[in-house]
Amino acid sequence: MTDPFTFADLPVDPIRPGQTILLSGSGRMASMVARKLCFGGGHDDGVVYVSTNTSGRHLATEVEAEYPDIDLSRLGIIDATGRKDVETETPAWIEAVSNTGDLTGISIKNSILSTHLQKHGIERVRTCLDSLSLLLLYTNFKTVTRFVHTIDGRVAATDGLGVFVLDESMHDPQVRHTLRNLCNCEISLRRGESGPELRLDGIRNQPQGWQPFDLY
Amino acid sequence: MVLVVDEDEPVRLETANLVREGIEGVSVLTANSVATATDTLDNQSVDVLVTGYNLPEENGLVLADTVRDRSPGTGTILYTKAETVETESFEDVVVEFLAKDDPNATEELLALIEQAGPEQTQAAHPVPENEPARLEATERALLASEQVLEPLQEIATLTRDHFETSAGAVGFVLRDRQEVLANSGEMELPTVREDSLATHTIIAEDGVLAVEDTRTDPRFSEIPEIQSVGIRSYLGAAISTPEGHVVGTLSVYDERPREFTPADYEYIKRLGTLAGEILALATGGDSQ
Repeated sequence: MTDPFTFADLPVDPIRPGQTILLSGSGRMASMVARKLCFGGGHDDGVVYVSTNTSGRHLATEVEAEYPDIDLSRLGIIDATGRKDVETETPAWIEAVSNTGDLTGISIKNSILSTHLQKHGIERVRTCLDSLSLLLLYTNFKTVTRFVHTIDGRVAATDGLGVFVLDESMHDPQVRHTLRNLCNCEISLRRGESGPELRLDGIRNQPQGWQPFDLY
Repeated sequence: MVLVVDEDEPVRLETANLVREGIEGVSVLTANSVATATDTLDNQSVDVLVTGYNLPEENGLVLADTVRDRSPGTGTILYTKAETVETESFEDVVVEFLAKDDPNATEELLALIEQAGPEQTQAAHPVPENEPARLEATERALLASEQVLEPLQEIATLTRDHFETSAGAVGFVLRDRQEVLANSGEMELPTVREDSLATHTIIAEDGVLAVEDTRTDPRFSEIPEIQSVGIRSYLGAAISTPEGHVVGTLSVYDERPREFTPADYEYIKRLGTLAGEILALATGGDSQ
Protein backbone atom coordinates (compact mmCIF):
# COMPACT_ATOMS: atom_id res chain seq x y z
CA MET A 1 0.00 0.00 0.00
CA THR A 2 1.23 3.50 -0.82
CA ASP A 3 1.50 6.45 1.58
CA PRO A 4 -1.67 8.12 2.87
CA PHE A 5 -3.18 10.93 0.78
CA THR A 6 -2.46 14.39 2.18
CA PHE A 7 -4.45 17.61 1.87
CA ALA A 8 -2.92 21.07 2.11
CA ASP A 9 -5.13 24.02 3.09
CA LEU A 10 -7.84 21.85 4.64
CA PRO A 11 -8.26 20.59 8.23
CA VAL A 12 -8.20 16.97 7.06
CA ASP A 13 -5.52 14.60 8.30
CA PRO A 14 -3.95 12.09 5.87
CA ILE A 15 -6.35 9.42 4.57
CA ARG A 16 -5.16 5.93 3.70
CA PRO A 17 -5.39 4.82 0.05
CA GLY A 18 -8.44 3.04 -1.31
CA GLN A 19 -11.05 5.25 0.36
CA THR A 20 -14.01 7.17 -1.05
CA ILE A 21 -15.47 10.39 0.36
CA LEU A 22 -18.98 11.79 -0.01
CA LEU A 23 -18.51 15.57 -0.03
CA SER A 24 -21.81 17.23 0.78
CA GLY A 25 -22.45 20.95 0.83
CA SER A 26 -23.90 23.74 -1.26
CA GLY A 27 -22.96 23.53 -4.93
CA ARG A 28 -20.22 26.17 -5.40
CA MET A 29 -18.52 25.63 -2.04
CA ALA A 30 -18.55 21.84 -2.48
CA SER A 31 -16.91 22.12 -5.92
CA MET A 32 -14.20 24.40 -4.53
CA VAL A 33 -13.44 22.00 -1.67
CA ALA A 34 -13.44 19.06 -4.10
CA ARG A 35 -10.70 20.80 -6.06
CA LYS A 36 -8.73 21.42 -2.87
CA LEU A 37 -8.98 17.71 -2.03
CA CYS A 38 -7.71 16.80 -5.51
CA PHE A 39 -5.12 19.47 -6.25
CA GLY A 40 -4.01 20.70 -2.82
CA GLY A 41 -1.22 18.42 -1.65
CA GLY A 42 0.15 15.28 -3.24
CA HIS A 43 1.74 16.82 -6.30
CA ASP A 44 2.98 13.39 -7.37
CA ASP A 45 -0.58 12.08 -7.63
CA GLY A 46 -2.64 12.10 -10.78
CA VAL A 47 -6.21 13.41 -10.89
CA VAL A 48 -9.20 12.34 -12.95
CA TYR A 49 -11.92 14.97 -12.60
CA VAL A 50 -15.40 14.25 -13.93
CA SER A 51 -17.24 17.50 -14.45
CA THR A 52 -20.99 17.65 -15.02
CA ASN A 53 -21.30 21.44 -14.94
CA THR A 54 -18.06 22.99 -16.20
CA SER A 55 -16.81 22.10 -19.67
CA GLY A 56 -13.47 20.34 -20.10
CA ARG A 57 -11.85 23.39 -21.67
CA HIS A 58 -13.04 25.76 -18.93
CA LEU A 59 -12.09 23.37 -16.14
CA ALA A 60 -8.53 23.02 -17.46
CA THR A 61 -8.26 26.82 -17.65
CA GLU A 62 -9.64 27.28 -14.13
CA VAL A 63 -7.36 24.65 -12.59
CA GLU A 64 -4.34 26.21 -14.29
CA ALA A 65 -5.27 29.62 -12.85
CA GLU A 66 -6.18 28.39 -9.35
CA TYR A 67 -3.29 25.95 -8.93
CA PRO A 68 -0.34 27.36 -10.93
CA ASP A 69 2.07 24.84 -9.38
CA ILE A 70 0.15 21.84 -10.73
CA ASP A 71 1.63 19.88 -13.61
CA LEU A 72 -1.41 19.69 -15.86
CA SER A 73 -0.12 16.61 -17.65
CA ARG A 74 -1.10 14.81 -14.42
CA LEU A 75 -4.71 15.87 -14.89
CA GLY A 76 -7.39 13.93 -16.76
CA ILE A 77 -10.77 15.56 -17.29
CA ILE A 78 -14.01 13.91 -18.34
CA ASP A 79 -16.36 16.49 -19.74
CA ALA A 80 -19.79 15.12 -18.82
CA THR A 81 -21.66 18.35 -19.55
CA GLY A 82 -22.79 17.10 -22.95
CA ARG A 83 -21.25 20.19 -24.57
CA LYS A 84 -18.06 18.41 -25.69
CA ASP A 85 -16.19 21.69 -25.27
CA VAL A 86 -12.75 20.09 -25.08
CA GLU A 87 -10.64 21.77 -27.78
CA THR A 88 -7.76 23.46 -25.99
CA GLU A 89 -4.00 23.45 -25.99
CA THR A 90 -3.72 22.48 -22.35
CA PRO A 91 -1.38 19.61 -21.44
CA ALA A 92 -4.29 18.08 -19.49
CA TRP A 93 -5.91 14.98 -21.01
CA ILE A 94 -9.53 15.64 -21.82
CA GLU A 95 -12.20 13.15 -22.81
CA ALA A 96 -15.91 13.76 -23.29
CA VAL A 97 -19.10 11.73 -23.16
CA SER A 98 -22.14 12.53 -25.26
CA ASN A 99 -24.35 13.49 -22.33
CA THR A 100 -24.44 13.65 -18.54
CA GLY A 101 -26.52 10.48 -18.26
CA ASP A 102 -23.96 8.29 -20.04
CA LEU A 103 -22.61 6.67 -16.89
CA THR A 104 -21.22 3.71 -18.83
CA GLY A 105 -19.17 6.16 -20.88
CA ILE A 106 -17.98 8.06 -17.81
CA SER A 107 -16.95 4.84 -16.08
CA ILE A 108 -15.00 3.63 -19.12
CA LYS A 109 -13.35 7.03 -19.74
CA ASN A 110 -12.32 7.10 -16.08
CA SER A 111 -10.56 3.77 -16.49
CA ILE A 112 -8.94 4.89 -19.76
CA LEU A 113 -7.61 8.13 -18.26
CA SER A 114 -6.38 6.37 -15.10
CA THR A 115 -4.48 3.89 -17.26
CA HIS A 116 -3.14 6.69 -19.41
CA LEU A 117 -1.77 8.49 -16.36
CA GLN A 118 -0.21 5.27 -15.09
CA LYS A 119 1.53 4.79 -18.43
CA HIS A 120 3.11 8.19 -17.88
CA GLY A 121 4.61 7.14 -14.59
CA ILE A 122 1.87 8.27 -12.22
CA GLU A 123 1.36 5.62 -9.59
CA ARG A 124 -1.98 6.58 -8.13
CA VAL A 125 -4.97 8.73 -8.93
CA ARG A 126 -7.43 10.95 -7.08
CA THR A 127 -10.80 10.62 -8.81
CA CYS A 128 -13.51 13.24 -8.38
CA LEU A 129 -17.11 13.20 -9.57
CA ASP A 130 -18.59 16.70 -9.48
CA SER A 131 -21.48 16.17 -8.99
CA LEU A 132 -23.71 13.25 -8.09
CA SER A 133 -26.63 15.67 -7.85
CA LEU A 134 -26.41 16.43 -11.57
CA LEU A 135 -26.16 12.72 -12.42
CA LEU A 136 -29.34 12.10 -10.44
CA LEU A 137 -31.16 14.63 -12.61
CA TYR A 138 -30.21 12.72 -15.75
CA THR A 139 -30.53 9.10 -14.74
CA ASN A 140 -32.15 6.90 -12.12
CA PHE A 141 -30.96 6.20 -8.60
CA LYS A 142 -30.14 2.53 -9.22
CA THR A 143 -27.80 3.38 -12.09
CA VAL A 144 -26.08 6.08 -10.04
CA THR A 145 -25.67 3.58 -7.21
CA ARG A 146 -24.08 1.05 -9.56
CA PHE A 147 -21.83 3.78 -10.94
CA VAL A 148 -20.63 4.92 -7.49
CA HIS A 149 -19.96 1.29 -6.52
CA THR A 150 -17.98 0.77 -9.73
CA ILE A 151 -15.78 3.83 -9.17
CA ASP A 152 -15.39 2.78 -5.54
CA GLY A 153 -14.23 -0.68 -6.66
CA ARG A 154 -11.56 0.83 -8.92
CA VAL A 155 -10.41 3.19 -6.16
CA ALA A 156 -10.08 0.25 -3.77
CA ALA A 157 -8.35 -1.99 -6.33
CA THR A 158 -5.80 0.67 -7.33
CA ASP A 159 -5.13 2.31 -3.94
CA GLY A 160 -6.63 5.57 -5.17
CA LEU A 161 -8.85 8.20 -3.59
CA GLY A 162 -12.44 8.93 -4.61
CA VAL A 163 -14.45 12.12 -4.02
CA PHE A 164 -18.17 12.33 -4.84
CA VAL A 165 -19.71 15.79 -4.62
CA LEU A 166 -23.33 16.10 -3.50
CA ASP A 167 -25.34 19.32 -3.37
CA GLU A 168 -27.21 18.48 -0.19
CA SER A 169 -29.81 21.19 -0.71
CA MET A 170 -31.19 19.17 -3.64
CA HIS A 171 -31.83 15.94 -1.73
CA ASP A 172 -33.89 14.44 1.06
CA PRO A 173 -31.80 13.42 4.13
CA GLN A 174 -32.63 9.74 3.53
CA VAL A 175 -31.28 9.94 -0.01
CA ARG A 176 -28.13 11.51 1.34
CA HIS A 177 -27.90 8.74 3.95
CA THR A 178 -28.11 6.09 1.23
CA LEU A 179 -25.38 7.78 -0.82
CA ARG A 180 -23.27 8.15 2.33
CA ASN A 181 -23.55 4.39 2.78
CA LEU A 182 -21.89 3.86 -0.62
CA CYS A 183 -18.74 5.72 0.50
CA ASN A 184 -16.20 5.13 3.25
CA CYS A 185 -16.65 8.53 4.87
CA GLU A 186 -18.35 11.90 4.52
CA ILE A 187 -17.13 15.48 4.59
CA SER A 188 -19.97 17.87 5.40
CA LEU A 189 -19.68 21.58 4.68
CA ARG A 190 -21.46 24.57 6.17
CA ARG A 191 -21.08 28.31 6.58
CA GLY A 192 -20.21 28.95 10.25
CA GLU A 193 -20.34 32.28 12.07
CA SER A 194 -16.82 33.19 11.03
CA GLY A 195 -16.60 31.42 7.68
CA PRO A 196 -16.74 28.01 6.05
CA GLU A 197 -16.42 24.90 8.19
CA LEU A 198 -16.12 21.19 7.47
CA ARG A 199 -16.65 18.01 9.45
CA LEU A 200 -15.31 14.58 8.57
CA ASP A 201 -17.24 11.50 9.74
CA GLY A 202 -16.51 7.84 9.23
CA ILE A 203 -12.73 7.70 9.60
CA ARG A 204 -10.83 7.48 12.86
CA ASN A 205 -8.01 9.78 13.94
CA GLN A 206 -9.39 12.86 12.22
CA PRO A 207 -10.12 16.29 13.76
CA GLN A 208 -13.42 16.02 15.64
CA GLY A 209 -16.39 18.31 15.07
CA TRP A 210 -16.66 21.35 12.81
CA GLN A 211 -13.34 22.76 11.66
CA PRO A 212 -12.91 26.22 10.10
CA PHE A 213 -10.99 26.57 6.84
CA ASP A 214 -10.22 29.14 4.17
CA LEU A 215 -12.10 28.73 0.95
CA TYR A 216 -9.88 31.04 -1.10
CA MET B 1 -17.61 -18.08 -9.96
CA VAL B 2 -16.01 -16.11 -12.81
CA LEU B 3 -17.18 -16.35 -16.43
CA VAL B 4 -14.57 -15.42 -19.06
CA VAL B 5 -15.97 -14.60 -22.50
CA ASP B 6 -13.86 -13.88 -25.58
CA GLU B 7 -14.30 -14.86 -29.22
CA ASP B 8 -10.59 -15.61 -29.58
CA GLU B 9 -9.87 -19.04 -28.05
CA PRO B 10 -6.17 -18.52 -27.11
CA VAL B 11 -7.04 -15.17 -25.49
CA ARG B 12 -9.99 -16.71 -23.67
CA LEU B 13 -7.94 -19.58 -22.28
CA GLU B 14 -5.05 -17.32 -21.34
CA THR B 15 -7.38 -15.02 -19.40
CA ALA B 16 -9.09 -17.96 -17.70
CA ASN B 17 -5.74 -19.41 -16.63
CA LEU B 18 -4.62 -16.04 -15.39
CA VAL B 19 -7.67 -15.84 -13.14
CA ARG B 20 -7.34 -19.47 -11.92
CA GLU B 21 -3.69 -19.02 -11.05
CA GLY B 22 -4.13 -15.56 -9.54
CA ILE B 23 -7.11 -16.11 -7.25
CA GLU B 24 -7.04 -19.01 -4.86
CA GLY B 25 -10.07 -21.29 -4.92
CA VAL B 26 -11.89 -19.48 -7.72
CA SER B 27 -13.96 -21.41 -10.27
CA VAL B 28 -13.71 -20.22 -13.86
CA LEU B 29 -16.03 -20.95 -16.79
CA THR B 30 -15.49 -19.86 -20.39
CA ALA B 31 -17.69 -18.98 -23.37
CA ASN B 32 -17.05 -17.62 -26.84
CA SER B 33 -20.24 -15.65 -27.56
CA VAL B 34 -23.30 -14.06 -26.00
CA ALA B 35 -25.34 -17.17 -26.83
CA THR B 36 -22.96 -19.66 -25.19
CA ALA B 37 -22.50 -17.34 -22.21
CA THR B 38 -26.25 -17.12 -21.61
CA ASP B 39 -26.52 -20.91 -21.99
CA THR B 40 -23.92 -21.20 -19.23
CA LEU B 41 -25.95 -18.84 -17.04
CA ASP B 42 -28.97 -21.12 -17.34
CA ASN B 43 -27.12 -23.64 -15.20
CA GLN B 44 -24.79 -21.53 -13.07
CA SER B 45 -24.87 -18.27 -11.16
CA VAL B 46 -21.87 -16.09 -11.85
CA ASP B 47 -20.33 -13.49 -9.53
CA VAL B 48 -18.09 -11.76 -12.06
CA LEU B 49 -18.13 -11.61 -15.87
CA VAL B 50 -14.85 -10.84 -17.66
CA THR B 51 -15.61 -10.19 -21.31
CA GLY B 52 -14.04 -8.86 -24.46
CA TYR B 53 -15.83 -6.05 -26.30
CA ASN B 54 -16.04 -7.48 -29.80
CA LEU B 55 -18.08 -10.68 -29.74
CA PRO B 56 -19.68 -12.58 -32.63
CA GLU B 57 -22.78 -10.60 -33.74
CA GLU B 58 -22.93 -8.66 -30.46
CA ASN B 59 -20.64 -6.83 -28.06
CA GLY B 60 -19.60 -7.05 -24.42
CA LEU B 61 -22.06 -4.38 -23.26
CA VAL B 62 -24.98 -6.35 -24.73
CA LEU B 63 -23.71 -9.37 -22.85
CA ALA B 64 -23.35 -7.39 -19.59
CA ASP B 65 -26.94 -6.19 -19.94
CA THR B 66 -28.17 -9.72 -20.66
CA VAL B 67 -26.29 -11.19 -17.72
CA ARG B 68 -27.66 -8.55 -15.34
CA ASP B 69 -31.21 -9.32 -16.45
CA ARG B 70 -30.68 -12.84 -15.14
CA SER B 71 -28.32 -12.13 -12.28
CA PRO B 72 -28.45 -8.44 -11.25
CA GLY B 73 -25.53 -8.60 -8.83
CA THR B 74 -23.01 -9.82 -11.40
CA GLY B 75 -20.04 -7.49 -11.78
CA THR B 76 -18.74 -6.98 -15.30
CA ILE B 77 -15.22 -6.16 -16.40
CA LEU B 78 -14.75 -5.25 -20.05
CA TYR B 79 -11.25 -6.59 -20.68
CA THR B 80 -10.31 -5.66 -24.19
CA LYS B 81 -7.88 -4.31 -26.75
CA ALA B 82 -10.70 -2.31 -28.34
CA GLU B 83 -9.92 1.39 -28.51
CA THR B 84 -13.47 2.51 -29.20
CA VAL B 85 -16.41 1.41 -27.10
CA GLU B 86 -19.81 2.67 -28.22
CA THR B 87 -21.73 3.54 -25.05
CA GLU B 88 -24.57 5.74 -26.24
CA SER B 89 -27.03 2.85 -26.46
CA PHE B 90 -25.85 1.40 -23.13
CA GLU B 91 -25.69 4.46 -20.90
CA ASP B 92 -27.07 2.74 -17.81
CA VAL B 93 -25.24 -0.59 -18.07
CA VAL B 94 -22.12 0.70 -16.19
CA VAL B 95 -19.18 -1.68 -16.25
CA GLU B 96 -15.55 -1.65 -15.23
CA PHE B 97 -13.14 -1.30 -18.14
CA LEU B 98 -9.61 -2.59 -18.34
CA ALA B 99 -7.37 -2.19 -21.37
CA LYS B 100 -5.19 -5.20 -22.07
CA ASP B 101 -2.27 -2.89 -22.77
CA ASP B 102 -2.51 -1.37 -19.29
CA PRO B 103 0.98 -1.75 -17.79
CA ASN B 104 -0.57 -3.31 -14.67
CA ALA B 105 -3.38 -5.17 -16.48
CA THR B 106 -2.86 -8.54 -14.80
CA GLU B 107 -2.69 -7.21 -11.25
CA GLU B 108 -5.60 -4.86 -11.83
CA LEU B 109 -7.77 -7.57 -13.38
CA LEU B 110 -7.31 -9.82 -10.36
CA ALA B 111 -7.87 -6.96 -7.92
CA LEU B 112 -11.02 -5.83 -9.76
CA ILE B 113 -12.42 -9.38 -9.80
CA GLU B 114 -11.84 -9.67 -6.06
CA GLN B 115 -13.58 -6.34 -5.51
CA ALA B 116 -16.50 -7.02 -7.86
CA GLY B 117 -17.26 -10.48 -6.47
CA PRO B 118 -17.44 -10.62 -2.68
CA GLU B 119 -17.72 -6.86 -2.22
CA GLN B 120 -20.37 -6.48 -4.95
CA THR B 121 -18.77 -3.31 -6.22
CA GLN B 122 -21.15 -3.03 -9.15
CA ALA B 123 -24.36 -3.58 -7.22
CA ALA B 124 -27.24 -1.22 -8.00
CA HIS B 125 -28.22 -1.18 -4.34
CA PRO B 126 -26.44 -0.14 -1.14
CA VAL B 127 -24.26 -2.89 0.33
CA PRO B 128 -23.86 -3.14 4.13
CA GLU B 129 -20.43 -3.37 5.69
CA ASN B 130 -19.11 -6.90 6.05
CA GLU B 131 -21.59 -8.14 3.45
CA PRO B 132 -20.05 -11.61 2.92
CA ALA B 133 -20.53 -12.45 6.63
CA ARG B 134 -24.04 -10.96 6.58
CA LEU B 135 -24.94 -13.11 3.57
CA GLU B 136 -23.72 -16.26 5.30
CA ALA B 137 -25.82 -15.39 8.36
CA THR B 138 -28.83 -14.73 6.13
CA GLU B 139 -28.54 -18.09 4.37
CA ARG B 140 -28.43 -19.81 7.78
CA ALA B 141 -31.38 -17.81 9.08
CA LEU B 142 -33.43 -18.52 5.97
CA LEU B 143 -32.81 -22.22 6.33
CA ALA B 144 -33.79 -22.19 10.00
CA SER B 145 -36.84 -19.99 9.43
CA GLU B 146 -38.87 -22.96 8.15
CA GLN B 147 -39.19 -24.05 11.79
CA VAL B 148 -40.77 -20.75 12.81
CA LEU B 149 -42.75 -19.90 9.73
CA GLU B 150 -46.06 -19.73 11.57
CA PRO B 151 -45.07 -17.19 14.24
CA LEU B 152 -43.29 -15.07 11.61
CA GLN B 153 -46.44 -15.13 9.48
CA GLU B 154 -48.44 -14.14 12.54
CA ILE B 155 -46.16 -11.18 13.25
CA ALA B 156 -46.49 -10.04 9.63
CA THR B 157 -50.29 -10.23 9.90
CA LEU B 158 -50.42 -8.43 13.27
CA THR B 159 -48.17 -5.68 11.92
CA ARG B 160 -50.32 -5.23 8.83
CA ASP B 161 -53.48 -5.09 10.97
CA HIS B 162 -51.97 -2.63 13.42
CA PHE B 163 -50.98 -0.21 10.66
CA GLU B 164 -54.07 -0.99 8.57
CA THR B 165 -51.97 -1.41 5.43
CA SER B 166 -52.37 -3.50 2.28
CA ALA B 167 -49.62 -5.97 3.18
CA GLY B 168 -47.28 -7.00 5.96
CA ALA B 169 -44.28 -9.19 5.27
CA VAL B 170 -41.15 -10.80 6.61
CA GLY B 171 -38.38 -11.00 4.04
CA PHE B 172 -34.74 -12.03 3.85
CA VAL B 173 -32.23 -9.99 1.85
CA LEU B 174 -29.99 -12.34 -0.12
CA ARG B 175 -27.22 -11.49 -2.58
CA ASP B 176 -29.43 -10.82 -5.58
CA ARG B 177 -32.97 -11.23 -4.32
CA GLN B 178 -35.43 -10.68 -1.53
CA GLU B 179 -36.97 -13.91 -0.29
CA VAL B 180 -40.43 -13.00 1.00
CA LEU B 181 -41.20 -15.61 3.59
CA ALA B 182 -44.42 -14.38 5.07
CA ASN B 183 -46.70 -12.06 3.10
CA SER B 184 -50.04 -11.29 4.69
CA GLY B 185 -51.60 -9.51 1.75
CA GLU B 186 -52.48 -9.75 -1.90
CA MET B 187 -49.74 -7.38 -3.02
CA GLU B 188 -46.98 -8.92 -5.13
CA LEU B 189 -43.77 -7.69 -3.55
CA PRO B 190 -40.47 -7.09 -5.40
CA THR B 191 -38.22 -10.13 -5.33
CA VAL B 192 -35.15 -8.67 -7.05
CA ARG B 193 -32.95 -7.17 -4.35
CA GLU B 194 -32.09 -3.94 -6.17
CA ASP B 195 -35.82 -3.31 -6.73
CA SER B 196 -36.77 -3.92 -3.11
CA LEU B 197 -37.37 -1.45 -0.32
CA ALA B 198 -35.93 -4.00 2.10
CA THR B 199 -32.41 -3.58 0.72
CA HIS B 200 -32.55 0.06 1.84
CA THR B 201 -34.07 -0.90 5.19
CA ILE B 202 -31.11 -3.08 6.15
CA ILE B 203 -28.80 -0.04 5.99
CA ALA B 204 -31.30 2.47 7.43
CA GLU B 205 -30.39 4.71 10.34
CA ASP B 206 -31.68 3.18 13.60
CA GLY B 207 -32.86 0.13 11.66
CA VAL B 208 -36.11 1.66 10.42
CA LEU B 209 -37.00 2.97 6.97
CA ALA B 210 -40.14 5.01 6.30
CA VAL B 211 -41.19 6.08 2.81
CA GLU B 212 -44.23 8.31 2.78
CA ASP B 213 -44.71 8.32 -1.00
CA THR B 214 -42.60 6.17 -3.30
CA ARG B 215 -43.57 8.35 -6.27
CA THR B 216 -41.66 11.33 -4.88
CA ASP B 217 -38.66 9.41 -3.53
CA PRO B 218 -35.92 9.22 -6.20
CA ARG B 219 -34.74 5.87 -4.84
CA PHE B 220 -38.05 4.22 -5.72
CA SER B 221 -39.97 6.45 -8.13
CA GLU B 222 -38.54 4.82 -11.26
CA ILE B 223 -38.70 1.18 -10.18
CA PRO B 224 -41.55 -0.50 -12.13
CA GLU B 225 -41.70 -3.43 -9.68
CA ILE B 226 -42.70 -0.94 -6.96
CA GLN B 227 -44.86 1.43 -8.98
CA SER B 228 -46.76 -1.14 -11.06
CA VAL B 229 -48.06 -3.05 -8.03
CA GLY B 230 -49.15 0.18 -6.38
CA ILE B 231 -46.75 0.39 -3.45
CA ARG B 232 -47.09 4.01 -2.39
CA SER B 233 -45.93 3.99 1.23
CA TYR B 234 -43.70 1.74 3.26
CA LEU B 235 -42.46 1.20 6.80
CA GLY B 236 -39.86 -1.44 7.55
CA ALA B 237 -37.65 -2.55 10.44
CA ALA B 238 -34.45 -4.57 10.39
CA ILE B 239 -34.42 -8.16 11.65
CA SER B 240 -31.04 -9.00 13.17
CA THR B 241 -29.24 -12.05 14.50
CA PRO B 242 -27.84 -12.04 18.06
CA GLU B 243 -24.44 -11.36 16.46
CA GLY B 244 -25.76 -8.17 14.89
CA HIS B 245 -26.08 -9.22 11.25
CA VAL B 246 -29.16 -7.72 9.63
CA VAL B 247 -30.63 -10.66 7.74
CA GLY B 248 -34.04 -9.34 6.76
CA THR B 249 -36.92 -7.02 7.41
CA LEU B 250 -40.40 -6.81 8.85
CA SER B 251 -42.32 -4.47 6.58
CA VAL B 252 -45.72 -3.01 5.82
CA TYR B 253 -46.75 -1.77 2.38
CA ASP B 254 -49.71 0.40 1.50
CA GLU B 255 -51.43 1.56 -1.65
CA ARG B 256 -51.91 5.07 -0.25
CA PRO B 257 -49.29 7.69 0.58
CA ARG B 258 -49.16 8.19 4.33
CA GLU B 259 -47.09 9.68 7.12
CA PHE B 260 -45.52 7.68 9.92
CA THR B 261 -44.91 8.93 13.45
CA PRO B 262 -42.00 8.27 15.82
CA ALA B 263 -44.39 5.96 17.72
CA ASP B 264 -44.88 3.99 14.48
CA TYR B 265 -41.11 3.69 14.08
CA GLU B 266 -40.79 2.42 17.64
CA TYR B 267 -43.63 -0.06 17.27
CA ILE B 268 -42.37 -1.75 14.12
CA LYS B 269 -38.85 -1.73 15.52
CA ARG B 270 -40.05 -3.68 18.57
CA LEU B 271 -41.84 -6.19 16.37
CA GLY B 272 -38.75 -6.50 14.18
CA THR B 273 -36.71 -7.26 17.31
CA LEU B 274 -39.30 -9.86 18.31
CA ALA B 275 -39.08 -11.50 14.87
CA GLY B 276 -35.30 -11.65 15.30
CA GLU B 277 -35.68 -13.30 18.70
CA ILE B 278 -38.05 -15.92 17.29
CA LEU B 279 -35.61 -16.58 14.47
CA ALA B 280 -32.80 -16.96 16.99
CA LEU B 281 -34.77 -19.71 18.71
CA ALA B 282 -34.83 -21.60 15.43
CA THR B 283 -31.10 -21.15 14.90
CA GLY B 284 -30.36 -22.17 18.48
CA GLY B 285 -29.56 -18.55 19.37
CA ASP B 286 -26.35 -18.79 17.45
CA SER B 287 -25.99 -18.07 13.79
CA GLN B 288 -22.39 -19.23 13.65
